[in-house]
Amino acid sequence: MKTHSFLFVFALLILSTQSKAQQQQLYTVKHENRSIPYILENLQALSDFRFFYKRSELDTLYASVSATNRTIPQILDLLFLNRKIYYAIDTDKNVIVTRSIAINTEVVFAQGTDKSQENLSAPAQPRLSANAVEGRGNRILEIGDKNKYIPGRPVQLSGVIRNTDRHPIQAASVQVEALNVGVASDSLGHYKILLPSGKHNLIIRFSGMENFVKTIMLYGSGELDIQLSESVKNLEEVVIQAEATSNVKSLNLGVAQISPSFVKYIPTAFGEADVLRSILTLPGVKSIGEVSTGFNVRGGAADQNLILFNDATIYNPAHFFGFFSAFNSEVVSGIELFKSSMPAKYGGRLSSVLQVSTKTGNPKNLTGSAGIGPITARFNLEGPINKKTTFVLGGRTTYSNWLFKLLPEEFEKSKAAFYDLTTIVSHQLSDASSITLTGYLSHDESNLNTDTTFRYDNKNISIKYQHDFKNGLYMAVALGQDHYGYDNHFTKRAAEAYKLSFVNNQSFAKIDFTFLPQSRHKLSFGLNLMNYKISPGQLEKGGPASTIVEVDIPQEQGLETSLYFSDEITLTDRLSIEAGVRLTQFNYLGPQEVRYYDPSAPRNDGNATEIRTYKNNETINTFRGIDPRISTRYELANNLSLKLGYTSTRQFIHMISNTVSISPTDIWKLSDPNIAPQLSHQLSVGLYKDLSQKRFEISLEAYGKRIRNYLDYKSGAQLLANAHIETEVFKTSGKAYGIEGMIRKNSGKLTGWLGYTFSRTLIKTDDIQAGEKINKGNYYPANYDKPHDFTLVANEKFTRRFSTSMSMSYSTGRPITIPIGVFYYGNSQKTLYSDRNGYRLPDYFRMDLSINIEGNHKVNQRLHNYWTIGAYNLTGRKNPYSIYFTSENGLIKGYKLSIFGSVIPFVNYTIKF
Amino acid sequence: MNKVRYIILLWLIVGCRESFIPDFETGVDDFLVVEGFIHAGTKRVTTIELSRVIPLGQQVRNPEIRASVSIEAEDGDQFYLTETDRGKYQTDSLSLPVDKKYRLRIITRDAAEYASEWVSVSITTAINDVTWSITQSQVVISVQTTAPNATSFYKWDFSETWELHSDYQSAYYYEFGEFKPRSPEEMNRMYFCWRNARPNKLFTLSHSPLAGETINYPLTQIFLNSERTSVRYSIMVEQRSLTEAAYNYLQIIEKNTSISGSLFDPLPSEVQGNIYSINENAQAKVIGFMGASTTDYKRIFILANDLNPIPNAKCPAETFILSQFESAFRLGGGYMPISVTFVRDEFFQLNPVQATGAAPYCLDCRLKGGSPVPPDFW
Repeated sequence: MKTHSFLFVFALLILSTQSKAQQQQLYTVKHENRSIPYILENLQALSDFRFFYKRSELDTLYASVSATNRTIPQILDLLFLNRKIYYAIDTDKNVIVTRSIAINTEVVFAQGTDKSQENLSAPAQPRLSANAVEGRGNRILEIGDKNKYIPGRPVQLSGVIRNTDRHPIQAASVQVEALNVGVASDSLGHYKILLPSGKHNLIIRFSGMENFVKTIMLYGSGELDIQLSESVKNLEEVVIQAEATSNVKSLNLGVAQISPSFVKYIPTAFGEADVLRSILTLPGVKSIGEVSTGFNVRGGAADQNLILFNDATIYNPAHFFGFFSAFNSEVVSGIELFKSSMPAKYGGRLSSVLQVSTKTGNPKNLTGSAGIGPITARFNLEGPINKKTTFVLGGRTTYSNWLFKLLPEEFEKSKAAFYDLTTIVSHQLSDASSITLTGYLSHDESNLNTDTTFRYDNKNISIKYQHDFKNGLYMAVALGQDHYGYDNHFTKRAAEAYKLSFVNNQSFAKIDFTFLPQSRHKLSFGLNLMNYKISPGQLEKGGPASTIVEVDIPQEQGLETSLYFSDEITLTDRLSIEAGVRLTQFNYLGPQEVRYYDPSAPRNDGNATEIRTYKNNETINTFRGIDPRISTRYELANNLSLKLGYTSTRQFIHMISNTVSISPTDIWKLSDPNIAPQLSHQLSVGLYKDLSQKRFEISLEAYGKRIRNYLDYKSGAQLLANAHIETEVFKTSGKAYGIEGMIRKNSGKLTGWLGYTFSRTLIKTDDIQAGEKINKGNYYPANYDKPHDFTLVANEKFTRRFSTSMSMSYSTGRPITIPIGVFYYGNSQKTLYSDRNGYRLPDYFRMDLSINIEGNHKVNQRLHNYWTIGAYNLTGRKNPYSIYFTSENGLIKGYKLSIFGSVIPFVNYTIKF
Repeated sequence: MNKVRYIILLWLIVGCRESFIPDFETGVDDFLVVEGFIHAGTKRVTTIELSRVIPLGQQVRNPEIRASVSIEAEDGDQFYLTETDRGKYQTDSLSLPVDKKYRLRIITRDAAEYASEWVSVSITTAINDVTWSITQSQVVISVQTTAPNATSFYKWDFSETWELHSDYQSAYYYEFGEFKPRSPEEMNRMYFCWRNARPNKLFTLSHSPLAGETINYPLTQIFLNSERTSVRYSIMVEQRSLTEAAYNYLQIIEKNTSISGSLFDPLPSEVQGNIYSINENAQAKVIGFMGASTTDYKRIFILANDLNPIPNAKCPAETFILSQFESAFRLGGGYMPISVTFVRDEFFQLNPVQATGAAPYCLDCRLKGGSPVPPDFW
């Protein structure tokens, strides 16, 4: 039958161990005032026990011991009596002796079974068993069936990483450094790592937690659940774990992780921890300006980023025209950005994937936090619903209206309202399966004293079922619905009153598998389905007196089906490769009336050749594509590795926007017979080095990228409420290349990073049906082409309660189009524009500072508070946001506009309970 | 405009807006600017204005003088325009048939040759009426027309003329320490003026039949207490049908000129008209879109009495005594006499003892840009 041996280690409390049968051989010793190492060596010579200790720790200690016919543990108990020396003995009679307890604060549950040999449906037993005492001490953990031990056989270690509140910890790194093997835990804290059987040093790290360091003896496959304790006393420890696994060791290129605990150290304009602002500090990530929604990754447009909130796609990730990111940082547990090596499981966007993951509720107690800043207030509540179900509820709202009241009369009518709500309910169905419901809602309604109210919503709901088949196969199934829509009103003048709306409702189903066979492979495969239903625009009268012509553009529909497969293969200790492929098919579906155009002439109303009508769900046209995703890693030397990656992506949904930034009037359009999918190929190479015992990480990555079928807009394009968008757009092709360098310090009192990016992004008109060519068809810089970019983010801990953060950012100004001259027409001056993006804004420089003060750290105190005080744009530099030329009384005047033209002080207060 | 306010709001909180003049050569190429249209119909005058693009920040027009400008009809007829003012070229009164195609041809004085595409004549629908109404202390002037049963495009031009009166009549002038009476003619010239103005905006409209049969397009608003409505006001509205291409062209020009600096501004576009260089120097670029159309006109008058105008505060009149005359009324003293009180002395001489005066522009409407000559139609 099945043998379960339960080990329980609880090192903080141990002062002694009990012996087992095999340890019960009796010895007689007598030493007078000898050094402890001397006594241990003597014992080792006498017995078949082996002693491990740090000589420096023990060689100053002298002891006398006299024992007759005693077991080794009994002798040791005598020897160490009343001395703060601890020991542990494993089944191989290895004895570890230490004075240090720092590494022993964790609680370990180890369960050893060899899955390959055992019946999988064996009932789960309580993990704290009678055998618990066996594992006491600083002993080596034994995992797997000892009787079937064949050294060096590949076996699998898996388990769940939790904190002391039994919350799963996502993105904790599990590493065996000697073997260059490392994995990160998933959203339910699960990890799986493939190791040769034998003895290993296992290190588990997560920011804000004590490191778990343990020697394990792996006889066969087994489970090890690990509980990390939050390091209240240990604040000077790792605060940044921007990459859960070392760059040198991981296989992917261009992956960046930022822990939410570091996000709060990055100063922002109003002092509020901001997920999106934090990723802008990473090399290769840029934005158009300080107040702009969206970001640009390695020369990609803002609509080419897939922003995932758990499994939900967020279309407009910002509040208040880009001032705030729409994610409540209190509910976020992990932020991961894929700039280059996009895993095969992701697709649908060209440039990057930003995965924002949420917490799982605290299963023990009702806890939460609340915070206020100058503009917003936020709260987060989490706790158990019952023994197996937990919830998280987070919300945020603004009360900025008070600010408008202080302004001159003409601004009194301004109104800015936004809120967001996040709910996560998780239920543990069994030991191996769980179900999570994520709900997200964000709402914005602002008029800013204009006569137009801009209202937009993201509404997302998804449910995810995860199951561990316990034979190395792991499955996640997610179903959900994403909604993004806007509804803008103008009511001021009755005759012109209108209501303009746009809606995208998409439903998705994803099934993802990870399989870890007993070999050097890690397989991922799955199927993703996405059904888009877009109402491209509805223009309605805003009142009975309105003379607006109502337009209702029929809904469009598409189905994106993707199948992917990828294998991560460890070829040798030094060489590993991940090869994947994603097969995608996109069907543009009826009901629809589609216009076809003369393929050799400009696409305009006059050149339409045919209109075809399609029935509901009838396939209008199909695009298919194969996207290979390859990354390889070769370790050139210890702590130095070289990686090479190739990523191909495609995108079937296009943001239609003739503005520089994402605006609340932009619509999204599916690929159809007249609008081809966007394609991108990226080749990247990187060099990674760890210095001085991994305190510094250096990385250097270079990339080259080609983009095809990105849309640009004809002169004077009418994009709103236009049923024939294809006549207003044309295709461009682009090239982007760059080098990103980064030095990062992850531990010590001073943490942070220094990044430099050189990058270019150039696009050109590439469409025979365009009818016109921007800049005569030559390459011109994209709006977000900022060649030089330098970022410094640093946090210095002075004491456990007090730290200072600074961020500094310098970049080349963004390209802008300015007039080459003016002319008189219609009795006034008009501007003459010629080359697109021929001029640049002045260079950008900003420095921000914040001081973070934690309340006291009494462990049993009910409330913890946290203050952030700081200043944004410390130097008060007037960084131009735009330069523009406008007509005033018939004359053209030029202006330079800065949004934050002075120092912006802020105070933010958070209380945790 | 909305966006401007939004940005201004931000600026009030923390931002700032500074005037910007590029410190670099923006490279004004030698663009020729052609404005006007071929005016078809019975007894019409075609006016074409030629100028050159000027650098950013400059305000002096650069008219293109001594060019040879002509209208060519498809059947070979050619009508020359003569330069009536610098850069302004006009035909005689012509009756160009509406069923022909025309083009404009320009040969500049440096022998560069340009021609527009051949364009057919757009027949303009008649103006039904030009009306006014009062909303929120403003007079709103609108034009009405009946739209055809197809998408149609319009451009309106208007010219405003109004009569204005000085606040006071000045009966005397002060010269060499003496008050001298003005002639009645001069008093009238200083008191009655006419001004005119043209808008510095393009008024265009695209109309879809779905929006109804009648178009009511608000052209301009005048504050009730403005100078325009102080006595009598007249507006002459010219309506012209456009082709869709011409309409789009004007839209781009107007959009490019009303950029607010926000990130939600549409990107500026290049303007491509329908006039091209036709000689070997094919690189020479032209701004302008030549159309041909008939027009309809309508003039209306509005009397101040019909508006119940809010009386404007008059300039303050001040009283001066003998010792102050020189300082107040000398040239550059800041005052002009309205009335003078004389006292007859023992020699029966009239001596000024007291005078009222006001700022010159309150007494002489010509200083406000008015012309003392009423227009023909007044």
